[in-house]
Amino acid sequence: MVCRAGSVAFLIWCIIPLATAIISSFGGASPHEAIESFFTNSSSEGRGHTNNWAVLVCASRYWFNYRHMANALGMYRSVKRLGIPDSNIILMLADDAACNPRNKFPATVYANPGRLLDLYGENIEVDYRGYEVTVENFIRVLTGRVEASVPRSKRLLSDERSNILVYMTGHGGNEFLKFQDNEEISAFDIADAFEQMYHEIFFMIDTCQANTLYSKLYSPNILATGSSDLGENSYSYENDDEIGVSVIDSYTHFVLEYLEGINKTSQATMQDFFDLYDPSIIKSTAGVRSDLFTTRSAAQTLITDFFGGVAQVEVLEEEAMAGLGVDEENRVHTEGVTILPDSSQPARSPSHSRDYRSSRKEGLCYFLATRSVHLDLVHLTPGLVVGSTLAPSLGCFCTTPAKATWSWFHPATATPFERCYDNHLKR
Amino acid sequence: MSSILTGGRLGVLIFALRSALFFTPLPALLRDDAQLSSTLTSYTRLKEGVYLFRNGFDPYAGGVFRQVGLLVYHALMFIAQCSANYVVPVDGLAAWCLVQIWRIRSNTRNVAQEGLIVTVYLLHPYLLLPTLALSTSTLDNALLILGLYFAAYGKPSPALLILAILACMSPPFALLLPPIILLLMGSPVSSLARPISPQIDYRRMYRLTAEFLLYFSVLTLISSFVAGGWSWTYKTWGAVILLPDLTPNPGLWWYFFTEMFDDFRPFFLMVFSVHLLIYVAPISIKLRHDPLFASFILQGIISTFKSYPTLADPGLFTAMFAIFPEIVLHLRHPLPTVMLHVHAALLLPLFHYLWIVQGTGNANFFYASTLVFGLANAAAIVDALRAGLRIGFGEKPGHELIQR
Amino acid sequence: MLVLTILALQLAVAFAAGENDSEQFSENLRLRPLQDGRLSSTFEFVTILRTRTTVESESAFHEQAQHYTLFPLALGQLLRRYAVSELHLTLNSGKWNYESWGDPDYPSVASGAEMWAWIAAGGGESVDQRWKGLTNGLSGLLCASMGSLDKKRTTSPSIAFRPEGDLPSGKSHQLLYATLPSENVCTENLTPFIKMLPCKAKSGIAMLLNPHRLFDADWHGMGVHVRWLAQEGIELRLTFGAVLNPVRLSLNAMSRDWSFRSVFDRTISRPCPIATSSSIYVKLPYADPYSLTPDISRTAPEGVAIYDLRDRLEELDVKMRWRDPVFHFRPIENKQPLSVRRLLLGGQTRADLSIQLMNKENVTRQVLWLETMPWFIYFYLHTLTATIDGNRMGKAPPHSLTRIASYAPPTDHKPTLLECIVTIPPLSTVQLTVAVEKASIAYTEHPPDASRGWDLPPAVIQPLDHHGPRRIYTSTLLGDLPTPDFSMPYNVIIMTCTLVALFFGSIFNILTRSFIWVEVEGDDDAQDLVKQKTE
Repeated sequence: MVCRAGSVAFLIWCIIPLATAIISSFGGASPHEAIESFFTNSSSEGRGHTNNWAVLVCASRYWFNYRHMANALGMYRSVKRLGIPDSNIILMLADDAACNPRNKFPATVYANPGRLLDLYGENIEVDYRGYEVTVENFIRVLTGRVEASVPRSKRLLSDERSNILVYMTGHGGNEFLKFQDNEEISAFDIADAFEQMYHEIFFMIDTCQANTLYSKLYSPNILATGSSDLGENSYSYENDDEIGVSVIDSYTHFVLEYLEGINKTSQATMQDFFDLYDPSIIKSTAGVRSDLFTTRSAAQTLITDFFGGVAQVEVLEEEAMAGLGVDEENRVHTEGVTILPDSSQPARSPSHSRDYRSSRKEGLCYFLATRSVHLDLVHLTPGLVVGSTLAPSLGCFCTTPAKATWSWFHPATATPFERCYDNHLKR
Repeated sequence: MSSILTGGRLGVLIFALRSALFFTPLPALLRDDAQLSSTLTSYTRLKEGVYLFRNGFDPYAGGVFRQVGLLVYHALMFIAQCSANYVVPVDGLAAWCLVQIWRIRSNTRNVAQEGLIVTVYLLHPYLLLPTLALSTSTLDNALLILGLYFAAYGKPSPALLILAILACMSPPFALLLPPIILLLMGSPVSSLARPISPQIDYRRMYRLTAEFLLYFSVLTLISSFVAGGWSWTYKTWGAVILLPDLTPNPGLWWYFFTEMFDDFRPFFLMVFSVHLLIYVAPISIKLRHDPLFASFILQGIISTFKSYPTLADPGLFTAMFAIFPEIVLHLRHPLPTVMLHVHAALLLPLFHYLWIVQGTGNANFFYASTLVFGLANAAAIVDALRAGLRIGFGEKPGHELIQR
Repeated sequence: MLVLTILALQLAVAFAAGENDSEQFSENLRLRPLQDGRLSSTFEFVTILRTRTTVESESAFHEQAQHYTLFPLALGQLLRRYAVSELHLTLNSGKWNYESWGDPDYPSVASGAEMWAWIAAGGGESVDQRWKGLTNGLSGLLCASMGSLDKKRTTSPSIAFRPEGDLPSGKSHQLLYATLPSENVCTENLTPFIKMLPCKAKSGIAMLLNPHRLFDADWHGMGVHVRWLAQEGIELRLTFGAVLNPVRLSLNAMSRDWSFRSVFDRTISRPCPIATSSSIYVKLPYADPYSLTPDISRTAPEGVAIYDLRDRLEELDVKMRWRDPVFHFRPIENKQPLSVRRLLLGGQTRADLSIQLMNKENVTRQVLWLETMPWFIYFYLHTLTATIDGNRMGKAPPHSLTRIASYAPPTDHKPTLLECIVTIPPLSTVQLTVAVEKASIAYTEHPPDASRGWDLPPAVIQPLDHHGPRRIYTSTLLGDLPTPDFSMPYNVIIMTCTLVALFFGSIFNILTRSFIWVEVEGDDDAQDLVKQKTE
């Protein structure tokens, strides 16, 4: 920690004059347009999101609803494996199954009979638990209207470039879902809660008559799927004899089994997944609603766009990188960043590359991102646009030929680094 | 019976019987029963308030003690020390006052009727059981009867003073001010059969009202002085309007406001309080020819729909039927009313026990029995009012009186 | 540009000057075999943040920039932001069995979450606002529902707790105390706990923190204790205690032999490089023959074996074996000089809260009895009766045995607080009984599992003569309240309003409609009506 901070200081000390000297020799057009064009690229691979969030809710209490907690935890493990960090996951568990006095295997939750994989593990963060999982808190999280004293780990700090996965499981019925056997959330409430501050939402529900819960959605860019149709029940998968209750639901079991075959680099699309829906395996008619998902189709959307923390990266020509004097060792990789050699992209027109080269000449931005204990410094050049799933940034420092500026972001409303770039270079 | 026992001897006999009951284990069992003593009238809470006051803690800091400050120090310390013995003379006094009221109202002496009045008041289960439970609602009733006695005998100052004390102890009783003032200005003699609207001397009415307000303010000031502040008004009188304590009782408010969502609470509290207020003026005006009867009806309405009733409040209403024997003949449905009362009287303790003590019943059972009880009281009030108005028309052979 | 240069210079200076002198980390593990075959283990991780200012000046919390290397930044930010001078937070599960296990290493063994803090007053924010921010911040930090420690559960005892460190002078502090007995502890609380350690679970004693074994223990508890010591600085003590059961873990073998591998399923493979001291203390049994491997580095007096991890290079797996392969349970010797038992007797509305204090010593003991009950439990103090060894001492205090030091009745959803000083004569048992009433609460105030009841916080007994344990906790109680029918809101409104409307309508009719005579005999024609004026 200390060495890192020291090297950071040294880095700042050394790079600034050198980089400023180098880039001052370049002229250039606006990098803002180049960035925008990257995101709104009309090619088939164009993806507009830069960070992923997941809201996983188990709304049932009591030991006999063990399977609902296992559902939510199974999804938690899958999205974590595929790259979404804990800081971007809001996990709500209405009861404690792992350390429940009735649990024969303490601190574990299993999702398959035979107890092969422990979903609880040793590294888990549950944000809302017990009596805190209420309809009010759920809606507050989704709409962002939380009280000032609510800590960051309990807030959904999404922005308009966030893809959000919302997964809910529990007992439900026709257009409602029960929370803790004591109150209900209706499909209208859910529809109203999806207001703004997202790029795309994938809403997945596993309850009885789940498809009715997404019937009232009206906001754009929402893809929804449910486990059973109106009038149908969703069934559990199997019991475990030693735990004594059902350990997973059929639909979620199906989903998790499918996700087992997906890794961070998988190119499988959502449509591939929906095509595999089979009522005889799931034991109910799972449904999909994609009429609101207009910007692109499910066939153009990767599974990892919602379930994973992967982002799109374009790697530029070598000489563009070398010109800045920054070599491999000084670049710090953060979690969830993968550089994809984008060979399927059509070749860039010369004018484009000139724009990029010109854009990188404009300036240099360093971004400070902070998680709970560590201080990480992300070094970024304009030509290398990296989408990442960092926790929102604390601040950024940018330098242009004319000046150097430093700005702090308010922790609750931090915008991602692209905004910082825009803000500074527009001035 | 009436020829053998005079009123006096009967009174002594009943007095002895009631005193004997105090030596049974019954009082201890009934002490904390929620039907006999509400939050505002409970003896245990009274003792707690006195204890806290004596030991230097503020008795009104918590929600346990909700009785009025004046009584903390003076009268009820005495009562707490005397434990059981105070109630018996108090009840006897009330019975005596009832007899006197009847005497002046009917202008006759009828030993049988007087014996009936005494028996009904002293042996009425709705009144006897709260006495055994040492609930201060017995005291409220006695004060009310005493106030009516003074009013019937045309003594304004004692009547208004007692009413002011009563209003301090239990604010809903302040609603009885209009009929009592009319009674002071008029005559207690039964004039239901010849309803002549009296001349009202407004000046005198204002003077009497002012006198009442004076007594009330003085008592409030004394209570504040004793209690050391004004917070007690919020805890005692505020409790009547704001209903902070939701202990089950035979009334209609508690379950309504237990199940109420927080957003609607203030509105419905206002509705229920205003509901009590709206009966005062019409009843007083319509029955201004017989204000004693008006206060009887109004007492019945208040006891059914007030926020913290006990069995003693409707008990007084049903017992006071004995001083209005003229309306009994004109009651249209006495039997259903009595049966409803018997029904409720059996079910209330049974369901309360099943729900709270044994745990096999549901809150709804007890709530349903309070609805039956409310219906029984409502039926009695409606019947009594109708009978009182009916008398004024007399009899016409071959015709029947109906309402259009 | 210039600003940055200066900033970088400052940073460089700050970190160049021996940064490790300002913070110090030490860890130890205490193991104690218990008489019923169990093993008590207490992990202790102490980080001391030495302040750079002089000793006479105030706490350095509020003056320097927060750059920590060993001290957890998230916790430090919370403490500074909410002006907290001393904080004690424990998350426990289970009931500490004082009779069989003796005194715990850390006295706060209340079930569930228990938290108290001294918060500085003044400076624009009220203490209540700071407490709210602190509880919410800690709930996010430790993944627990400490946000529920709001004013419905928070009290300010006047004499019950004393600061264990020094409080900075010049500012007045207020003590706030809250408990949440229904809180459960699981891996999601251990994960951030481990993240607050400098070496995480990768080296040193923290390698043994295996949630699958720790949460299987018969009692486990986690503690965060922060205090300021004027001579030393800010001390953060992270503790984790667990009472493990080797007999149960050995299944059919019924043996109480234990080793790190058998109870923790882990061993310590490397020491934490930044710990200034890293030791394991094993209390040696004195009754039965045993063997302890590996050989100990040194023994302290009083029969404690010490393993110093810093001079170990190979993996450490401490094993203790008894000569008898099978453990025979013996009758428990209760060596506690003072034992406490608390009971709740009674029904859904009226109950008796009874606490029994047993004094086994031949001296008079004076203890403080602290009760914090939720706001729906009313105490009737005039019914407080005391009995010594079964003989009644008379009714309401003050009498010779009890003196009520402070009493705050429940007001407006604040809890009841009772602090009562009890004098226990030598070699006797004092039983105090007080009648309580359980209020009926509104529909919206019941928890989702209302039929289960409410967990009532434990009573805290503090011996006032300062010998023996600092605090003794009783068990939590389960109080069930009369519940309304939760399916009935609309029905109740409808039915009650119907009755009221019926009555109102009837009275209205009687008062306003006029009476008319209708001829009954002879003429059935309804048009033959005779009106008669009455007035």
